[in-house]
Amino acid sequence: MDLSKNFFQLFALPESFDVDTAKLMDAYRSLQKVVHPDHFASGTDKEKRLSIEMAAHLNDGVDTLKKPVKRAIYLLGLKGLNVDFEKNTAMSPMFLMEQMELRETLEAVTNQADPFLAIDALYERLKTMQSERTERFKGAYNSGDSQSLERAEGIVAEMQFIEKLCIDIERLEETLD
Amino acid sequence: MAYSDKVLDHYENPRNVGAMDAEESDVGTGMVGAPACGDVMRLQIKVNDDGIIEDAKFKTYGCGSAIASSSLVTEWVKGKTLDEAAEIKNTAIAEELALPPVKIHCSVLAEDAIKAAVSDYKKKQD
Repeated sequence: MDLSKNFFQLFALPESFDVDTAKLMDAYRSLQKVVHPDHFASGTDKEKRLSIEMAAHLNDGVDTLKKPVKRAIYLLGLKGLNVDFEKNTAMSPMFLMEQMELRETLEAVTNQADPFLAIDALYERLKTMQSERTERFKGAYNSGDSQSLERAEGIVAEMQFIEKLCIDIERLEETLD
Repeated sequence: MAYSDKVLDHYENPRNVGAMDAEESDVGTGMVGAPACGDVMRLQIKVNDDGIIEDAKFKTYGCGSAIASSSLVTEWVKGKTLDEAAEIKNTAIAEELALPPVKIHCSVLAEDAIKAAVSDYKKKQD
């Protein structure tokens, strides 16, 4: 296993936003067997250390390619665009207002006659928002010029917001059960 | 991770939570967001004829540090001129609240929010 390969090369997948999850998991499992630290139990310290490093690299890789937002950020990184969300707070005011409104709706969910129905409606709305952005991201990413890639970065920021909100919805739903 | 007493105080008793009418000419609104954690912050100021901020309100969806940072800023800006308010630095917020390094971005968010509110107000006066 070559640690210098990027995650797509590592799993022999095309460098694209669309990932064949079945192929990814097959490749992951076969590589996992090769590098599993158990095989190196009687090896030298160096071999043991290397196998742990490789196993970690492999896990990092599968996690990155499985999750859409992480994958999108990784793809931009491979194109030389380092996405740093810690420093970037410039978002479209329209989008932020919508986020605020969605947060307020989520907050009010528990007061609804049927909170589960309200959660479902909110979730559906977010799914639509997310798939619309996924398509726009792919378009911008595939164009590949620097202006389009910057646009893609802005889209990923919004995708990250929506994903975070989905996680919070799931958390709330668990407390309702 | 443990929050400092000051963060907890602002988190449990947030100051100046609420909304102002963003359409009013003497109100400036700043909306900012942090993609890293999905926080959204709205900070509003009401400015009198002498250019002094006489009231401030905020609404933040986020972690305790983000809520505390914006709550603190609404306290700080009252009585300040627009220029003084725009000069508030995130480092001062982080220091006052004893924010750990991983939460510094919450104070950055609050600094960006007050700057955005000031610039929104100024734009309206043109």
